[in-house]
Amino acid sequence: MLTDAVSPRRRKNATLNRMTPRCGAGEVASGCWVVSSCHPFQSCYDCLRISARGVKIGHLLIATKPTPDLMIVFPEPTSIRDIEANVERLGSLVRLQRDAASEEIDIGWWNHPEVTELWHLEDDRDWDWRALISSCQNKPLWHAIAVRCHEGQIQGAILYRANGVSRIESEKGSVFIEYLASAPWNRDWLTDRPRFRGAGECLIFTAVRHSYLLGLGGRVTVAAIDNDRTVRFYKNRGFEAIDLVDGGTIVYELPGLKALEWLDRMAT
Amino acid sequence: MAFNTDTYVPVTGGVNLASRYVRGDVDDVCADASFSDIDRHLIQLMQLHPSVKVAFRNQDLKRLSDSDKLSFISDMNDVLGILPSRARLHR
Repeated sequence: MLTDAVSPRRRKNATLNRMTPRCGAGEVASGCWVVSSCHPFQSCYDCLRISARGVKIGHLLIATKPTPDLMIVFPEPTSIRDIEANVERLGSLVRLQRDAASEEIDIGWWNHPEVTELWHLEDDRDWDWRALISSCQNKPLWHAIAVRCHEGQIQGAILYRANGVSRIESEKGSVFIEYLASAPWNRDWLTDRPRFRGAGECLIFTAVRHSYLLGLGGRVTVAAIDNDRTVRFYKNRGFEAIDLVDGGTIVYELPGLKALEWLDRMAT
Repeated sequence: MAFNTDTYVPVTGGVNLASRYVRGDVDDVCADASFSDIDRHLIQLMQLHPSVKVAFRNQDLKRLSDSDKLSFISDMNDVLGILPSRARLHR
């Protein structure tokens, strides 16, 4: 959200600032501090000197105020755990485009040497992410999002819609997750040495945040195959089983209260 | 940010959704696909909350500046009780 009126250097600075917690220049909308008083200073190159107290322009310290995080603006920094190094790595949440989906997921995910032959048994082996994204191109309520690791590889992807219905809280809306998968090399049942952990949860949490910011109270609904792994995963995160549909699929919903608890826990 | 990474996320979805899980009163198609992130957010708020009326000086999105749109979103958040800081991703 950097306007053309901003100088290229400042725009670059602002982009850099977005990667840093609790600082940023005036035009950065999400997750940063806004320096609204700084707007008249079009030639201000000192925006990098922003702290929690304010921005220093020469000898002048202008107090800052936190911008309301009105929406999720992509790309957004995040982190996922590098299992081998046992550290959190900087990653980014990005909108998933058709070309990336085709090349990096539809082809790239399933040709990885470390993924065992068991991938044939995976529920998502036939998913065509490019086609899925094509089908929701003109639908603003649909969101295709991926998480990239520090090396740029897609480690997980999600497709959800914001026009779902809550079954727990009647007449309330919900975000419905249509598709969610992590990269095959991040599944411990497909490889001996999974690379990253947390990509999928990061994407689910993005859906929760989106649900909240769209006035849906953080409620999220998913439909997943009934097995021990799925039940454990969703119940551990506060989801409640609300329905059993044909073919052994359980529908889970994250109630508003649980969503708010999760949001509050992650925001502090 | 630290997620609870005790287990790996299972593959989820890909099942035909029963219509009872989708709102019938929301038209999710938009003819103009060239919307920005702000436009998209605003469109979603208006589509999802058609009963919410926010008086604003201009109802034509194309004639609003980005800062006006942000004010519009902020006004809608006030009406809907959304506290954006709550959904901040702590890093």
